[in-house]
Amino acid sequence: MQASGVRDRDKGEVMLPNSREVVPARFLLGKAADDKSGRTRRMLLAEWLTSGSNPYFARAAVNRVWAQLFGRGIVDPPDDLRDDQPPRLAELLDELSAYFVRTNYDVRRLFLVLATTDAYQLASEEASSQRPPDLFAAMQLKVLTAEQLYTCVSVATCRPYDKILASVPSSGARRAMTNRATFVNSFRAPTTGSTEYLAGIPQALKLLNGRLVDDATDLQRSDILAALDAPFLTDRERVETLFLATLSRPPSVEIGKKFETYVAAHSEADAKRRALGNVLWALLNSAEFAVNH
Amino acid sequence: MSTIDRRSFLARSCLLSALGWSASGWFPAFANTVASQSARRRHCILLWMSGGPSQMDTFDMKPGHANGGSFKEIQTQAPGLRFSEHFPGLAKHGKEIAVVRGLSTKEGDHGRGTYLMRTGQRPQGPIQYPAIGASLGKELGLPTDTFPNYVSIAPYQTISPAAFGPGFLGPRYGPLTVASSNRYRPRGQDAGTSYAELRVDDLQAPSHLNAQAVHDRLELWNALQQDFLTQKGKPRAPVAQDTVYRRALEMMNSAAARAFDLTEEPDEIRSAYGRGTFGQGCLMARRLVEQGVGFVEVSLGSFGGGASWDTHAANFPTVKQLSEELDKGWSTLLTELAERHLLETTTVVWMGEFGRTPKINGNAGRDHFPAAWSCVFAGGGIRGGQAYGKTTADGMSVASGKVDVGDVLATLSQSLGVPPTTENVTSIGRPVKLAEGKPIQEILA
Repeated sequence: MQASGVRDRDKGEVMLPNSREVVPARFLLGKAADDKSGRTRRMLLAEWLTSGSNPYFARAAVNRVWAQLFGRGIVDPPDDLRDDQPPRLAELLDELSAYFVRTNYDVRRLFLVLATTDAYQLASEEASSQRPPDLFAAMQLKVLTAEQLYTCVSVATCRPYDKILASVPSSGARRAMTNRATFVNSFRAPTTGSTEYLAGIPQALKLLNGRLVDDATDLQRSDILAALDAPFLTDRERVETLFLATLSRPPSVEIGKKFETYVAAHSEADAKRRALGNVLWALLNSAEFAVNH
Repeated sequence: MSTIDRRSFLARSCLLSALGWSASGWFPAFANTVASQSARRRHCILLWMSGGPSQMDTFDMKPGHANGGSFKEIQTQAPGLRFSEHFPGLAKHGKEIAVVRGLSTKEGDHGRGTYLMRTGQRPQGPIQYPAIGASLGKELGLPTDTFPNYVSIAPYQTISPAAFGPGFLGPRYGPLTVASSNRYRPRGQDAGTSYAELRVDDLQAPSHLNAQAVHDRLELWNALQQDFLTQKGKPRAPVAQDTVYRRALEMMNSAAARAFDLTEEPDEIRSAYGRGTFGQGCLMARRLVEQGVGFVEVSLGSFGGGASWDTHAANFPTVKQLSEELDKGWSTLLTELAERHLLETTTVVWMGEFGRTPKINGNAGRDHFPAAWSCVFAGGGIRGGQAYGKTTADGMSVASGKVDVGDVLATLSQSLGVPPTTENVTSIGRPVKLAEGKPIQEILA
């Protein structure tokens, strides 16, 4: 639900059902949440949550960030933190949690550290591999979120994308959805960082035939296709450029040859551009483009 | 408007066979599966009345009472069951129809009421519950279906977008939405001859592409898919992407996609349903059910343009107009389903987000009223020809047979042969039942 109507109430107690007995508010570890300084309970909760003596928050936060980057948590599912079943990499979780507390809960630094690890740089590997996934010896294959997918199409095809309507106060304006918001809304998955492909036929139709990819491969408006007109480029280089822009890798030898032959068969400038547009369309709709691997 | 003429249909089919799909025997195998299962398949058509229809002027009339309003009652084909005079077509189907008159809910706001009636849950907390179309579509469909099992025709979603979504079930179970490209307003020469247009976005390749371009694209795409999936040793996610895409491509060229093309229907059929969005939507619903689609919803009543059930003022002329539109579409739908022997496997349910105040206000209107109102079931799994539950003489409260939204959705689920206790699990591992109520046994066949 939208949180637009949430306000901080400064009074009110919870009573036992059918009685007037007040149940005093307590923190998770049993300490009463009373305070004479006049601060709201929400502030007290925030302080308790992020105090160094709370062993849960940092672990949970670190585990979630890890899960977002690696496709699965050190503890997985990420919300299943409990004492009776320590993860195989418990030491890693402890160390990262301590670091997170030490840096005063600096999420940006946490991302930086995780993204520069060797573990994060690893390639994904075949599903038949016997290596246990909770040791992170290979990257999990992650499906792009709706937001990532939209942004990736924009970045790969050098097209600017419209911005999210951030913090617009009136509800009328919030309802007026941008192209991006409309796209994201129809693809939104219940969890982030998922390793499962959750989209269905309506979403596939949207990518196959819809405006996002059609605009991105538009012959008149696509910057990347215009750039490929440059006369000093060979057809092989043109194909390679499209692979690099969309998949961040050159094509395999076999595919490269096949695609180059296809493009070379169109000699006239317009026809060649159309052929390259078709290559770009195929790349943007490929399974490889839809995943981070 | 998505039109799929026979020529492009054949052309596209040839393209698919160029990719070796048809030659692999996939198509014939699929056709056999459908044929063998269509007998057992169940379907649901939800007629969604956006804005909150007046029970007092439709299915729970109070003639003679000050709250009753100006409409007369008529006898239906079922003894003792009476509807508004503006439902002559439905009256002929009285024996197939069961009215629930003791519905009592707790949300009187459009957004919250819409979410409640369409998900069975009040909007609160972090869990996004699936629309009943998503959860029932999931149960009524098969994992191998090459069409979506939840199709939403002309919905007015803005009031509560989440109430039309798949919630925690994930986007795969979300609706394929059919938009009404222009609200039907007959004018001048067109009056009485044209139809409201219904359009499925992105069902066909962009029109600027010729057949050769479509062919080239699919061939290049096919090569990329095979290259990636072979070298990656078939991990789950890319294989799932490939499967979903191939189903979408197959659907673009399938009979199911042609179900969206109403121009295939003769004029007398199209006009029998009514020329507006709702009537044409009912016709599309029948065509989709014929193709096996599990759950189809058709909306009637909008906000901002077009007549709305939200009749705070001038209730009677508006309800009369909407009733006539409803009667044509719904009764023709029942007739046509019965003719095709699909009525016994298709449950039709009629409801909105709440009812309207029995007392007529100073603007000859009726306001929001969730305390005592009606919804209607017809067709498959339903024992028709009766009204279940009763409101008081003034319509202000439920006198007997009081039911809540959970009971209504459980009844719907049960009538479709889906146990309402069927559970789905949220992303945090919490099991959620399809419907948390008791089926109304009295109206179940």
